[in-house]
Amino acid sequence: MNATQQADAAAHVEQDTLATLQTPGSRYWLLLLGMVALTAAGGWAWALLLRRGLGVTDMNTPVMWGSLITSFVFFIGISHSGTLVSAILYFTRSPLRPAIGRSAEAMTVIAILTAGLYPLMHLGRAWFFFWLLPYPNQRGLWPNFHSPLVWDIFAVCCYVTISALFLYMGMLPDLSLLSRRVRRWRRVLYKVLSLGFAGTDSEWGLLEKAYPIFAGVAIPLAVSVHSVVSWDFAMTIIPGWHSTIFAPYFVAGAIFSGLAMAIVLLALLRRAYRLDRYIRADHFDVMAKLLLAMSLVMSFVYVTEFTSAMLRGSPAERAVFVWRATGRYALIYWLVILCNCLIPLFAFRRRVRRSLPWMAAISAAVLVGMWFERFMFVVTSLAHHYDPFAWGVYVPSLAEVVLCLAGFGWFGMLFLLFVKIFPCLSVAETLQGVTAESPAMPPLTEPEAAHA
Amino acid sequence: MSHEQRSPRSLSRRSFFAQAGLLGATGALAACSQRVPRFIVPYLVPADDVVPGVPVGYRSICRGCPASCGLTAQVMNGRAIKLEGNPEHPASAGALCLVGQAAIEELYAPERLTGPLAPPAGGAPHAVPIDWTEANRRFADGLRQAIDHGREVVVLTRPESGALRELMGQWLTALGQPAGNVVVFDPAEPIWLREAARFTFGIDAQPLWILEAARTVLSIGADLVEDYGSPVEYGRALAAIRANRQRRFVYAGSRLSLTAASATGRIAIQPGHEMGFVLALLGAVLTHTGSSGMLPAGARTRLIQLLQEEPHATAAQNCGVPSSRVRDLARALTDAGPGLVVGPGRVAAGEDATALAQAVAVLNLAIGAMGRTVQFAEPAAPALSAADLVQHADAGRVGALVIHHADPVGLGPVYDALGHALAKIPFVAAIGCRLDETARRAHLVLADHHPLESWGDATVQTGVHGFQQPVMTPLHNTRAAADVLIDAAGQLGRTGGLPSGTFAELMQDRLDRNRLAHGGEFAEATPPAASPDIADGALDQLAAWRPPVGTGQVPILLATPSLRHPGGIRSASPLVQEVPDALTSVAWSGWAELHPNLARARSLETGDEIELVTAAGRTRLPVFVTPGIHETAVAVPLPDATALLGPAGSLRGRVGPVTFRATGRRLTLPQIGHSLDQQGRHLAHEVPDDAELPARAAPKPTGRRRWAIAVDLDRCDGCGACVAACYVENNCAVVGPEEIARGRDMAWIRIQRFYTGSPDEPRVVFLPVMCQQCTDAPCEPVCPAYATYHTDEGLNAQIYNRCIGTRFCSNNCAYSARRFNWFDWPRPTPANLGLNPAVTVRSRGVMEKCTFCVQRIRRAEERAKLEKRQVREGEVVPACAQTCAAQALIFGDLDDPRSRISELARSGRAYRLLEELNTEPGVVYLARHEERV
Repeated sequence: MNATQQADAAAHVEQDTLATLQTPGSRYWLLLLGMVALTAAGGWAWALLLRRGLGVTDMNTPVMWGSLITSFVFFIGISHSGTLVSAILYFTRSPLRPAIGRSAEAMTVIAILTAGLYPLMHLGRAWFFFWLLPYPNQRGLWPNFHSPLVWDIFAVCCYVTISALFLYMGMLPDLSLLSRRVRRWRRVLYKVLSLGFAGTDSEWGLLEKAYPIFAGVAIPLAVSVHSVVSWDFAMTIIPGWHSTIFAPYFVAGAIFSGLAMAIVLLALLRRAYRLDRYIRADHFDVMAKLLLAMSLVMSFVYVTEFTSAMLRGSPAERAVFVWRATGRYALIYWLVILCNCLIPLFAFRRRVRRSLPWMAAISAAVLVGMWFERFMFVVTSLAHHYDPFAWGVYVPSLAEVVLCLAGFGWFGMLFLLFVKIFPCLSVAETLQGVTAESPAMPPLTEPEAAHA
Repeated sequence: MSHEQRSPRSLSRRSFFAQAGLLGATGALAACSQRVPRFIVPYLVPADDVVPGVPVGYRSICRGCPASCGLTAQVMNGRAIKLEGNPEHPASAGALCLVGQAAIEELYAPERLTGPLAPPAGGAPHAVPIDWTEANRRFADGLRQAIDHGREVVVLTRPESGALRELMGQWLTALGQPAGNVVVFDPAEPIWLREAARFTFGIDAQPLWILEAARTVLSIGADLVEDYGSPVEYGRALAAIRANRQRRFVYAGSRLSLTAASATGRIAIQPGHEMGFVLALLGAVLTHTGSSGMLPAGARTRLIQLLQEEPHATAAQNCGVPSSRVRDLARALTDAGPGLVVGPGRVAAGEDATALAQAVAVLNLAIGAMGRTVQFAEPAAPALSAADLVQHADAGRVGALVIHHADPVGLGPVYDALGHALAKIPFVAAIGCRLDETARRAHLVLADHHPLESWGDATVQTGVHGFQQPVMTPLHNTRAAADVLIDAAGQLGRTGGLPSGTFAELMQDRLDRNRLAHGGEFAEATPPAASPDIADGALDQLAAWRPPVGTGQVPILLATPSLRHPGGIRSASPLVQEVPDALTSVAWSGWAELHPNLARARSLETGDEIELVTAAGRTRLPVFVTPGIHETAVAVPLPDATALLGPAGSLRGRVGPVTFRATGRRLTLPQIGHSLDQQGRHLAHEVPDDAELPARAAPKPTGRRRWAIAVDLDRCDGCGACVAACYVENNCAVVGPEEIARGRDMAWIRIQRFYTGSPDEPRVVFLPVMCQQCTDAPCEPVCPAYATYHTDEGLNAQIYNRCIGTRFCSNNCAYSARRFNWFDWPRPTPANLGLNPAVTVRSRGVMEKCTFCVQRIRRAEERAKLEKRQVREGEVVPACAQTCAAQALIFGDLDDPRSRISELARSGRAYRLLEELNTEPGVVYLARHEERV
């Protein structure tokens, strides 16, 4: 590859990236409008909750946690594959990273921002949420450090901080690079945000030193945050929750759902911005393999969980697991098995893995499956507690359904805004790839483009 | 600042008028507000003996039902806040039932009449408030017209036994009427028992069952706890029988009622076959006793002959009870000390009830129970019957009717005739506390005091004279019924024989002042009377007995009594309705009980709505499938069954054939229980009756107090008084049927019902569950805000204003004992005045639960500290334990080896709920004895 070709390729990358930042078309606006509408509906539902009380939901004794906590766990899970995968790809110097790293990291931050809303909505007296935080106060009281909920707050706060910094640091060179190519408010924004990064050798050197630290911290943190979230459940005495398998199970589930979300988003990005050259069939192939592997892990976990419950002595625990599969929520249970264990098996075929529609469909199924999986274990364990007399059932109320959908609206809205405001491909890294590898850019006409 | 600018204080003419207008309007609006009490504390300068915040007890009597139990009203800051049983009163012995506990709610009910009302005038849809001068004038006018036209004045009253009942007679006499122009409205009176007593012994009175004196008691469908006016007295008696291994209580009936659940043995009888069973038993007794017994020889011979005649012989043969069982029972009733046969109760009473009651009376005679375990009440004062009133009214002879706390119209078709008769009476005045269905048809509504605001007395049993005294100033513009009567007589100038002065003065003269603080005069129990002689032709009724029509057909409708609705009249109290029926766990709503086999045959499940049709009417109810009902019966609680009962004038429980069909609707029942049985969990323990259990090791004293409560499952009869007491004491919210159906009841203690035993012979165990105050409480570590923590007295405390409502604690509670405030529950004025000032009212968004009545613990501790001593054993009693008639709940310090609770905790029957979780609860359960027959 000669210098001219390289310069051409570099120009291409910059152009393609800038293309994603151009004034959006009507479809974008429509989509954004839909997402804003969903978010607004959620705002209304939350206002209702605050005004009238949590009775607006259909939670009850004994099912005191319902779809809101489900959504919290789900979105924390979604956040997983972003930073974690991106950091792993960084360390393995994978050619995948330039393509998927940025959107995955953004997805993480946005997902945590979404997830964090649910525990707030869910509080009986949301206006005192800050009592959960350790801050010096005249009451002389700290939060209860025995409580997994407090660990949860620390874990999630750490994770969102590191993820945001990781995303931001990775974006510094791009902001600096692109600030010269854009105009008006975007130029000012990029200039300010690039913190004067000029791409000098010393700056790059510092960045190269700092970046792995964040990446290195992000990986164990990603594992820990979902382990800690799982302890909200595993640290209790509730049959079906109280289990040592929960931490790895949650992490696996999180990576699984996060990956599915990443695939859906990348498929949409590629489709919308014709980024076929950057987000390639090979990438989908690799992600599909990982998705398949996680699906198998999930199946393993389900079987382990079920058999260990059956082998353990507690009749309450046995009853919960049998009830999940046969009771009032059996439909959800089998939907979960179908979406999380069976549908991903299609990915054993190479053609499926490399097909955009197929992978998008499978991933969507996994997302549905994972949401309901969270719902299933949150609700069924509470509904089928130790005391049969005090059992109950729970079906989300309208306000709760709206709030759950609003989570997706809020998530989608932030993501749509992100891809229009910030570069969703890593220009610098793609360029590095261009210069380091040869040939970096595959020809535009590739057989799999036909699937797109 | 320029000179032209006005000073901000100066007032322009315009703004003066604007502000004056605003002030005037506000003042006018404020003046228009309703006459409701507006002060948190009703007085500025209290009486000398009132210490703010310290409750003062006043003795009075409960008027929730005719049992008239003695009570102690706890009055704090001038307002009654809680009712407790009077420990000196022989019937209540310190306890009150569910209805008694809820009676205080009526005092502060927003629906209560706040003053006299006149009927709507000039097309207005609602009755209009009038003042008392006007009300008295109208009342006197109405009476004058009746008297002037030579028509009768009649009083229709609820059962009254004291001075007021006497006064009614005197008043009628003063008006120139017969003193017997009183109709006692007591729809639930088992008249078949009185009739049988009249036919058999020539005594026109209700029998009294002396359970205490009997060793073996057999109930023929008699639901003593539910239906005999005093769940307190009978609950205590049944618990005493269960606790004594030498005694037996056998229940023979078609339904596993609360009473049947408390029995030591049960015999299932197909509805309509009760007579067969009694005859079979009679035969066995006669064979067994030989020539002994109280039965005269002639009657005995006639009886033996009768038992061999048809249809009696066939009925006895086909009663469906194994003859060995009948023989055993006959032996137990005759040999093992005094026996007693109670009944027939309401669910056994069909059209042949009188004959059946006579058979039972003869049986009691044969086993030698008459006079020893069966006595007779004093015959009631002469009175008109409801039928007489209808007849007189139809004939146009009644000119004025004074209704005193009676609502026949509200009972539906049963009293249709009476309802129609009201329209033919020119002047109807209703004295009462509520604008009920009957009061709506009256020409004048006179608002009476609540019993807690007025004087009175009641003589229920011989020698038991309970005093009723006002415990607080009346809340509303009400007047005592007696004063209204006396006033009217004065206006008519007919005061002859009537006391001068007010009823309050009269009562203060009449009641012994020295006994007022004790709540009444209670004589020693009367010695057993001699057995009454059997009347001539006494057996004719029995001989004329024919099997009831329709018993061959299935199913039979049983209208079952409920202690929540005394006398079969639906309770108007939200609290009574909120406390679930212990057997079905259904609150507020009615239901129709079906046996699983019958339900399966008709493809029905719990919650399916069915339409029931009898000869008299039809109604729609949700199905409740339960093994506690005979396969050939459908049971409906009385208040809901009234539409299905004919105009019988008496609420008989075995109504007759019923047909039903599914309407296709499915309802979510407002029930708190979701499982009929324990699903293999070992929650409610049962031990064989003869088991000798090794005592449990005593826990090591720690030197620190450990409050604990013992729950004796052998004694609990599921009456629900503890639940109601807890609601009142702890300001628990009443949330209504919709919220209960959504699983949001706010009860701190619930009675769990589990069916045990085989499906063919089910038993019932009641398991009261409250916060277990665990030593190692799972709720405590999970709260992020430290809103729940452990006190050094072993209590698991909840700090409401620290709680932010994560609800993690409730999730992690293995006993599901915590309740969350999903809303700010409404407490409309003046209901808020009845709140216990010692207990915080929880706002929405916070968790709450049983505190072991920590306010009572603190009060006792403060008292002990002032007196420089330790808290004594028995000094602290939580509201639930205080009102438990069966004494199933015992509270105390578990760390004190001499306390009653620690003694019980060492008993072989002691266990804790879900012991395997290692939560070390502070609630000790004592296993229930299985049945003994």
